[in-house]
Amino acid sequence: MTGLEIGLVAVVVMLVLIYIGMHISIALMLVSFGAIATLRDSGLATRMVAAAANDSLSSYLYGVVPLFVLMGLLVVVSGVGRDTFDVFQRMLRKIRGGLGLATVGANGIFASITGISVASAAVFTQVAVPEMRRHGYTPKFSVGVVAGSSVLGMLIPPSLLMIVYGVLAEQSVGRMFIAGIIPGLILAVCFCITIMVLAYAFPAFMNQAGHQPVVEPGDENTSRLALASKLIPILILMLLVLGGLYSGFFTPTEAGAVGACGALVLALAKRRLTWGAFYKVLGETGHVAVSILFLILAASLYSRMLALTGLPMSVAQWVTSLDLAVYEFLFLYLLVIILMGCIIDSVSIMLIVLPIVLPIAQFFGLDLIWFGVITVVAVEIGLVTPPFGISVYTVKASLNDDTVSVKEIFKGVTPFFIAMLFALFVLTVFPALSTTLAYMY
Amino acid sequence: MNVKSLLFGQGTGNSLFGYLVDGLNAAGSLLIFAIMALICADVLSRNLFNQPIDGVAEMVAASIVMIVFLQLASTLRHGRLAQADIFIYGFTVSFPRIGRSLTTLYYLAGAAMLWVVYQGTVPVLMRAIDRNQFFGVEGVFTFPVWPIRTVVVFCAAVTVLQFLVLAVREAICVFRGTPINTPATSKAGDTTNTADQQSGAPS
Repeated sequence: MTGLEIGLVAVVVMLVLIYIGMHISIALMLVSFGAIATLRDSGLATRMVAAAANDSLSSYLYGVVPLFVLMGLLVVVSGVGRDTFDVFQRMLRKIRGGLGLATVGANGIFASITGISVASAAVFTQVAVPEMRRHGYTPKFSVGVVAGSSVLGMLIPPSLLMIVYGVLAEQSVGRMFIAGIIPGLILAVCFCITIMVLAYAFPAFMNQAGHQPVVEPGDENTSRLALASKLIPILILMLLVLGGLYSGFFTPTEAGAVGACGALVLALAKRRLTWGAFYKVLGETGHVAVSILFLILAASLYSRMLALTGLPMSVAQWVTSLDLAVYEFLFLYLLVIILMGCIIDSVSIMLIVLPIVLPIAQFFGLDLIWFGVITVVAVEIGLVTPPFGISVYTVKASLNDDTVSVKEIFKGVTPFFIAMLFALFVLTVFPALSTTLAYMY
Repeated sequence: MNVKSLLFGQGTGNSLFGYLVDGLNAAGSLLIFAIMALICADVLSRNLFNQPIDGVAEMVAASIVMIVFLQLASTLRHGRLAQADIFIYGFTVSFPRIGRSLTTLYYLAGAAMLWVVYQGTVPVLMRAIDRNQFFGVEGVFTFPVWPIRTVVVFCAAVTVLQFLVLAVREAICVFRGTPINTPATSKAGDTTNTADQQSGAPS
């Protein structure tokens, strides 16, 4: 077999193994080991596995992963998610669909201090869904808003996916973060418009029939000042992390450490954190971070294996010989990513696809920052597509309510899925939306 | 499931091996906290006293490798290593024996891969000791390489054992034909963990 054939077989076998449920990192290592052993010999394969294990993660930049995960989890424990939602809820309650808008807004703010969608989905399921249902929103709309808007967490910096992309594409992580700001806002606006459209054009989707408006006692007594003060800790954290990054004061890793430290102080100040709980948060941080870092480790072996087989260059040559227009290529690429999102999680998709696709993107002369943004958005769409959509399952798990089925949640997410497709389209057509801020940085 | 259990997962294992895995995990947790504190100290000292701490970047880089391996066995034990359960979950419900046999194979594959890591790293460790390798910049900050390699070698071995423990448990289920009360796999990203639910079994 030629290297090319071995590479192709390896990719196919890997996809099958992942589909039938082997641990993704193990599947990546297994096929890479097998392919290198076939191509050269098993001694080299062993040495390459060892090199990947010992050297591929040995970089200052990867410190960013556990630190931002730690920050996100501490922020969750500190209960600022509820505070943010409270503020938005008070401001928007009078508007039709206001609680939906409040969820999107609070999620957007919350996303700016946490980098993991799953954390947002878990928090807002608990905070926002009961409130919306009490105010007569349908279950499917309530959970749909939460699952849909939780993906803002992966776009608005800090974002774990941006970190992974930055590492893979050798782009500055700080710049990737900055690039995500405007697209994140655009996505949030798309969500808000979707909610307004639902509120006025399809009220049956949103409102429970025959629900009496709930009268809130003592609403107006809380002063606006007291309300706004609830946002202050979050704004400080935001300023610390984003401001530090944008001004170049911190490297991304430092921003992660300072942010985690700030979140720790916040959680301690709000008396939400005992030392025992902190220890558990640290353990949980480890589990989330290790699962990602080990994937990165396995994927670095996989991309070295691919490079040995020459597959990425051949695919790039093959694609260019097809005389595809840039937009045809982008359309196919985004479609593949969204489809893969139906089966595997977002980090894995990027790790598997990018080593093959990045040479093509470079051939087309695409801006890699912009390419990263649309990749992240497309991958995020996978978070809410059946059957695997992680956000949906997280919502289901933290909802703890058997009357709302997974199917119902997917139905509720559908309008937001469409909004995301629209946002993806806009971002693809107008690269400047992603790049302008990024290159000022 | 509430936020707490989503965040923290459930209780931990109670076997001796379980304590070892949890202990390594705790060491990794402390290391995460340490690099956070170290970087913050560096930022403060650099800006307030104009006195950066030497070797922070090198230490963080080295710590990441150690964190991953220290916590790998625990991540696996708690069913948190990413996998797609779209196929295997339903399949195991319909065909428990074949499904669990497949899961056993996956664990064995994991054990094999970590064994390769172990085997490949032992010579690297030996070289590091023989040649007295260090990282950092000579005269400014240096640290020997062998402790990091030792962590990788030891934890890779522990993870091999953890994979084997899980494989044996699944295999026992195959032969006994235990009815499905714990699904064979848990969702990636979800924190319900099967390893814990089975932690009553000897390991």
